[in-house]
Amino acid sequence: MRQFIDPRLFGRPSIGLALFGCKNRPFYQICVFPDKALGRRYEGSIIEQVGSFDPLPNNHNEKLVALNIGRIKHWIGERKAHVSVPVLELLGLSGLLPIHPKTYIRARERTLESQTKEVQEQPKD
Amino acid sequence: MLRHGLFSRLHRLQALCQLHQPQSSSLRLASAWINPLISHVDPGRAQEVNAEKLFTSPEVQELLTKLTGADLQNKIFRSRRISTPQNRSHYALMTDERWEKTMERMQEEAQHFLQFIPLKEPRVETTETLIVDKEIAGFDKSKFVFTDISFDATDQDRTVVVREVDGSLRTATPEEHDRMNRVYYEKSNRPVVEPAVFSDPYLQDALDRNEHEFLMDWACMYFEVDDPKFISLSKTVYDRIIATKNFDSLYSTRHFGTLVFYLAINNNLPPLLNFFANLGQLSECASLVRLQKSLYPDWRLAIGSYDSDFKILQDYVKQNTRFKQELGDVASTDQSDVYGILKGVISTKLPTLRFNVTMTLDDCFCFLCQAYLHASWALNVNDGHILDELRNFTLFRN
Repeated sequence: MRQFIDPRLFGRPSIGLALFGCKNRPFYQICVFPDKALGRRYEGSIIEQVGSFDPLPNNHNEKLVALNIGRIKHWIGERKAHVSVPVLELLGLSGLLPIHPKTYIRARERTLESQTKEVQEQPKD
Repeated sequence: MLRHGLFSRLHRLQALCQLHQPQSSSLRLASAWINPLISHVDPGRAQEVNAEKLFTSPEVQELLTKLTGADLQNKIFRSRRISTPQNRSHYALMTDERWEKTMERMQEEAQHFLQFIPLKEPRVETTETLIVDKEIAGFDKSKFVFTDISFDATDQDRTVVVREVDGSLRTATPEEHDRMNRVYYEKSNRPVVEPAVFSDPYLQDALDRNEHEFLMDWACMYFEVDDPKFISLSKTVYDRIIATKNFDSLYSTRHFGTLVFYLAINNNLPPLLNFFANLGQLSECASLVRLQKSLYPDWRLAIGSYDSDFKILQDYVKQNTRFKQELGDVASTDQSDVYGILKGVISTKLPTLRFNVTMTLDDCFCFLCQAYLHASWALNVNDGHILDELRNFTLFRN
């Protein structure tokens, strides 16, 4: 017999970025989704929105992140939520969690990239 | 797991308190409200002034309230274009007694609209570096601003941190903090980007259109009162009012008290004295002098407890001979120091007195006689002008 379960209480929820926005204008909401066993994530399955992330820098060259820190702590601490890597990176940068290893890798790649660019550009001048 | 948590709300509050504490007296700079361009205070004394404390003292507040004036018809309850519709004007036939009571009630209501904007020193713009992590330098080309959008955080104690491109994490500057408040907690008429009217070409336009009150109301809604931008903006507006002698634009609004205080703390009374003299308000002139002397107490220049308004003004003019040129409307340049103010009072009061219904003709006559006696006593001269005025008036009366 089919059993109805409450997705908010079932299993291990996960926190991830949900892409909103429109064409050529990405915007992410940081959302809590139900357990993977209940199927793929989709917009209607969002349990709670706990923040937002605007990946396009504004005119002050800032990327804005909003975090509902109390709720994020609740989902991670009490509900043992699984946190996706992009969100872990953001939480690391915010100082709430240790910096994610991927941020270190990204930083090294970017610096290497810029260094090689400089080396390539120098002979031209 | 939590290697370095964000500041808890309690810590943040504590840090805020520490930030907003006045700096130690040896390090404190002169108050931001002292403007060397218009100030007549000696620099040593200006250094010691604590504008916030002086402004909140009950004596000063009382004098400022008195000086603000309450023009119910033309200023406070005038028709304005606002989003919430005003009550329509209501016409009623009433007895004298009820009329007086109604006016009293309206005066009380008006006090609600005349509460002063708190006068503050500009806040400290320092930030605190929380972590420096050189290994992630260059992780992105732009900095990240993290804002806590918890339900119970208020605009003042909200946590806002910035991860710089070089990998260091710091608390946000107050400017960034306010901007994030505007981004995530929008209010009507509080746009994220500062409105152009607060900076110069458009600011001057607004002032030319005589929209001082609208501008200042919007500014104090848009900025925090201790925002350096708010303080510099209000100083600019006040300076331009003083330069154009356009005190009427802010008279009997909630901003007038601050303007009076600004002039008094800079010891630059002549423009305002002239303004009140032109209105023919002797007692206001005296209150202004009282205010100035309570801000800078000096036993040699103290006001006696039985001094009349007239005597106070007379003394002030004598003590400040350097203002003789500027005090044109209060004191004329010849030896008759107080002639000017009497001239102001009589010339403005006389036409109004003649048609004022509430004042009987006898009252007018008494007033003029008093003024004349004052003048002749103070100057030891029989001034032809005043005599002429009196003669005209008695003729009119007969």
